[in-house]
Amino acid sequence: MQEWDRMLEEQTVCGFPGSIALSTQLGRDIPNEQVLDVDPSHEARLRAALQRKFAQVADERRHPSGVYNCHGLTFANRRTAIHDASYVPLILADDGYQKIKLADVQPGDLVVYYEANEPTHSGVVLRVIEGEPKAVIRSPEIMSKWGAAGEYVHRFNEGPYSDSVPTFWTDRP
Amino acid sequence: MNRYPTEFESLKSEEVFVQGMLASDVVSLYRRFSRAEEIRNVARVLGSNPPCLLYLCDFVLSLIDEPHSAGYRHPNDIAICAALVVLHPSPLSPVRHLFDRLRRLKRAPLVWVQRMAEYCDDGFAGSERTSITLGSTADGVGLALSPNVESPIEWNDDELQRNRHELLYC
Repeated sequence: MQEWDRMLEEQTVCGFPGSIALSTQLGRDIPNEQVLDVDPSHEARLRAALQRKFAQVADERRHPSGVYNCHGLTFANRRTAIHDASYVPLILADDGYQKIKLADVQPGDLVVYYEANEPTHSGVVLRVIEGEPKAVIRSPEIMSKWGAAGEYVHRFNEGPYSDSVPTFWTDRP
Repeated sequence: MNRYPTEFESLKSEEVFVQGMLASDVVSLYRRFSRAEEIRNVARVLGSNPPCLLYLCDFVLSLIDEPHSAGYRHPNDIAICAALVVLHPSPLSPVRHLFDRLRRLKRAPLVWVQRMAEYCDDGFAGSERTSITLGSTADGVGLALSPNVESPIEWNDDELQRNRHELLYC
């Protein structure tokens, strides 16, 4: 019997690691799922590759994890992964976030990256680095989880998602 | 001896692996792979040699069959997802059969494969797709992969299931 035939037969026994109860502030459920980690050798391979590519622009703060993804870090405090990014606009709306300009970004605000009008990545603003003149040069530094890889601190316009369009959001009054 | 076109090995490359691991969801995974040069190269190979589609199906099966731990993601899940991005517009019955089975493969180590198979299969079934993002008819890729082009190969599912090696390597 093929290996994957056996897997099909066992699918009712071996389920996914699980999901948790997760909802917006208005009580709407958000589908989520914690998945397995990569094995240690692949984790080492991944971290080494990212180190080679992005060491100049990003600092790793946490190791890879399958439990949560970027949206899980941003909206679920690392408890789970939100794999359907179409729910991100719903969360932003239900949780009272408003879109703001780069000039108004403050620590604690969120960044959501879009590609073709769909969210591809998100993170939390840690601080805003001011240049000169301050009114023109502002560069939020963010913490975000890179897919199934680790968490990184990096400027909002650097790293593997720099091709996507960043938008900033706040729930400050 | 390696039975597959050498380009298939690039689906297991570090670049494809890293691109795949950076995706937060299956939509962005698909989008990243659609742009990846390694994956476009495989699509070009298939474009110039349509029977290779079946070799790629078999390559996917061989990747799944590799030993893996139930406690971690399958070590080839990203490579398999990359292959599915190449395969998904094909109307060939063995290809559709592969997607049909993978989308029901609810195994924790292969959850990304299941997701990608579901996403691709839904996209195939739900659209009047006449072109694909991986290439165009100009470079031959679209010609081979477009579902509107009659395939020169017709294998039924039972044949593929019964002895895929005999079918593929005779």
